[in-house]
Amino acid sequence: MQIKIKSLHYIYPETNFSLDIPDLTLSPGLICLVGQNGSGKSTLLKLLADLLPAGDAIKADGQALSEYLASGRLSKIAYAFQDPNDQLFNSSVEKELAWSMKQAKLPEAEIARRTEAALKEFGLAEFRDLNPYDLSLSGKKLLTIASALVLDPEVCLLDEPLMSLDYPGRCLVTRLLKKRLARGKTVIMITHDMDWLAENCQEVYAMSQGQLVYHGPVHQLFSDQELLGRLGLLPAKTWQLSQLIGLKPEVLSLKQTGLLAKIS
Amino acid sequence: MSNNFQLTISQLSLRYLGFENLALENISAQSRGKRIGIIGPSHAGKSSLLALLAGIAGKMIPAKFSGSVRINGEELEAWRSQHEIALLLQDPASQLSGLADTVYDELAFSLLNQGKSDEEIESAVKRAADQLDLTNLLDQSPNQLSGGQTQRVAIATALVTEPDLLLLDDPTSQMDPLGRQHFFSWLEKLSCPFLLISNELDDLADLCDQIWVLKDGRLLMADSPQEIFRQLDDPAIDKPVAWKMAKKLKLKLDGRYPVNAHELKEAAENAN
Repeated sequence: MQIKIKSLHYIYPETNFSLDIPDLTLSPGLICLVGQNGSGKSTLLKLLADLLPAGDAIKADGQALSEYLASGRLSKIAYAFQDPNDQLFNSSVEKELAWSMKQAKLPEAEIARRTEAALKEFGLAEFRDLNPYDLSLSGKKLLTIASALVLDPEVCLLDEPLMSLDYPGRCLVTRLLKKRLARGKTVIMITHDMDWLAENCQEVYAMSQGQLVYHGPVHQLFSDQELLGRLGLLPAKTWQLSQLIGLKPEVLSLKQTGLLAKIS
Repeated sequence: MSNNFQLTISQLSLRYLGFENLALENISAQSRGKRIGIIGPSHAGKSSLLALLAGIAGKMIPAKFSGSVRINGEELEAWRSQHEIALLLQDPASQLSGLADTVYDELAFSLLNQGKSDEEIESAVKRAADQLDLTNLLDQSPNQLSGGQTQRVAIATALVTEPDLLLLDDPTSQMDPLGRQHFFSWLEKLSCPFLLISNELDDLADLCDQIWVLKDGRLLMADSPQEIFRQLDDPAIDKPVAWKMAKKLKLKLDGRYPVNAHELKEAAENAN
C-alpha cells in the first residue's frame, strides 16, 4: 500500500502548534521518524491513523484516508499509542487483543486463533485473564503493540514502540517488526532510540517544529553536527563512542564495529 | 545527611493482596555509596522496591511485607517521619495532580500542601523549573505537554520539595536523546542520594556507585558497575554499549571490558 501526503496542514487550536507537510510519499518498508519531544511526530502519526482529521491531504492507494478505512478496510492500518494508558481499556489482556479484530469484523474463529497466537508470541499467555492495568509497563507496552500487529495490517503505525520495554521485550519487538518488513509490509514508527535506529534503519525522517526537515541516510544525519544541533538530537552511542576513541570512519552499529575489528 | 547514606535491607519480602507470587522475595542488600542503579527485566520487583521504600506499597496499595529496612541505622518508618522521600513514578502522567491549570501550579502543588509561603514557593518552583529546562513551559497547561515534557514536569514536582532521598523509576524513558543527556548530567551534579531504575546502562555505569540486579523478585547481585557487568551473564539483561563495543574491539582494562565511555577511552589509549 502506498500513502501519499499532499499539502497537509494541521493546527491544534489550543496551542497554535501547527504541522505542515507539503509533499510526501510513504512506500512499504521501515520508516523511522525522529525529532525532539514536541516536534510533531506523534501528531503526524495520529493523522496517518485517521485519529486526527486530515481531509483529502492523506491518500491511501489513491483514496482519501478516512474513506479508505471506512470502506471495510479498518484492518489495513493499525496504530499503537505511545502511552499504553491511552489505548488499553478492556477488562482482560485476552479481550484487549480481540477488540480491534472485532471492530474490523473478522470471523470469530479467526479472532480466537489470532488471539491465541499473539498471547503465545508476546509471552502474555500467563496474563490472559489479568486486567491490562495490572501488567508491568513493559507488559502494557507489549500488549499495545500486539493489539496492532494482531490485525496483520498493511501499515503499522507505532508511536515509540521500544519505549519502556525491557531487554527481552525489545528483542522480541525488533524480531517481529523485521518479520513483517520481510513480508513487504510498512512499519512507520517514532523512536528516540538512536542506537536501535542505527542498527536497524537505513533511512530516517527527522522533524522539527511541525515540519519534516531531513530525509536521508542515518549516517549522514549523524555526521551533520549543525543539523543535529538544529534538531536537538544526538547520534547513536556507538557513533559517539567511536568518535571518542578515534575510530575512522565512525561506526553506526555494533555489527559494523565487529566488521571493523576484523578488517583491522 | 546527603554525605552519609546507608540503606540496609534484610530478608525483605512483599506480596500484593490478591496475587499469589511474591513481588519481592527475601531481599537482603547493603548500599555502598549514595547513587544506586537498579536494573532487571520486567516483573523483577524494581518498581515494587521503590514503592515500598516510599511507603506506597503496604499503605496506598494493599500489600504485606516482612523483613526490615533501615536508613542510616533507623527503621524506615522512623526515618521517613523525619525526612522527605520523593518518588518519581514510571508513568509520569499519573504523577501529576490533574488539578493544576499551569505547569507552575503543578510544581507549586505539594509546597502549597506543606503550607509554604508564596515567596518560598516561587523561588522553589523557579529553581526546579530552571534545573529541568521548564521555564518556558511554566504558563502552559500540563495537559498540553508531550510525553518527554510531562516526564520533566513530574521530575520537577519530585524535586521541588528538596527531598533527602530520591526514588526514580525509569525517569528518562519518554525523553528525547538530548533531554536524556541533560537529565543524566543534572543527576551527576545532584548531592541528594538516589535509587534509580533505568535501562540506560551506559549512564548508570558512569554515574552509580553500586548497581542492584533484580529478577523475578530476587536480588541477583549488588556490586560496582564494573563487577556487575564482568560477572553478569543473563540473556534477559543487556550490557552497556561501551562494554559491547569494547568486546568487539577486544579492548580491555584491568583484564575486563570497560563499562562506560571514560573507561573505553582509557582502554583505547592503553592499546595504542
